[in-house]
Amino acid sequence: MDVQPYLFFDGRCEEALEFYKKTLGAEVKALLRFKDNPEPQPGMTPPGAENKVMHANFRIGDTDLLASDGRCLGQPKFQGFSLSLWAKTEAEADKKFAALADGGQVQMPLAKTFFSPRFGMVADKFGIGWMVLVSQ
Amino acid sequence: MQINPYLSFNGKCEAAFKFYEKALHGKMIMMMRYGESPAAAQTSPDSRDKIIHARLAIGDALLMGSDAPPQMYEPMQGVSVSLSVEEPGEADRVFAALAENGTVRMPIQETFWALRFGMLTDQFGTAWMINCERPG
Repeated sequence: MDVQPYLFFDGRCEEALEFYKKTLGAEVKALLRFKDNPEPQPGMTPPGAENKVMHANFRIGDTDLLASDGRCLGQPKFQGFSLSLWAKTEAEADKKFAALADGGQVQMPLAKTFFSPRFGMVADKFGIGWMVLVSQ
Repeated sequence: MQINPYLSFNGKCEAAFKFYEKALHGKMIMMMRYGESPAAAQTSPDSRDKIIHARLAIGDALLMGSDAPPQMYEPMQGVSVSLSVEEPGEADRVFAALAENGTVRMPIQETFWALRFGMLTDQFGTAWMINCERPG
């Protein structure tokens, strides 16, 4: 059984995928637009959302993540969860943390803690909370 | 580099993770209380039995979570946890187990991409997608 976060970007999915390509080296493996849905459902998305992303599968490091534009209303809201990103080295943690913080908000700067030589929390420009740490 | 979902709870992290361990046939790796952690001295007495870090192994994947400080808790939004299950019968079993006292948002069924797909929000507020793709 695989366990993957499925993220709803509410209309900003392609912008987010571009951002994660740049910041985390994401690779888009599959992308289906609403206009290509073989079973379209009336009222599922607002008019003009034909080119928005119904489903995308992208890979970051060793993990596959899933994403969609969902209802395409342009107001993504992420709360009540974070994504934990395990870097292999302190240098990698520093680099990824700084990249994710571009346009976002640092909630806890990277520092040594009782459980990791490097741990920090940042909300990226889309509002997704990341916990960056180094595997021990 | 690996990425895991990290879920936030309002005092019910321990109950939720025990429920997930049973429903997903996982293995609990860690269940640390605030009172047992180096943060104990800064924790109010009524929160010391709450969970600062829980970690559940599900196959090769990890699910992590904690109890948020009460004034910082926000319900989960903008994400679902997607479970890829190989056998349709196992997908049905997992769906039914997680749905106990929860809310089914889309009953598990055949779709154009999957032998079985369904969506639910469990009794602890976590949104799940259970997906068993067509072979090949």
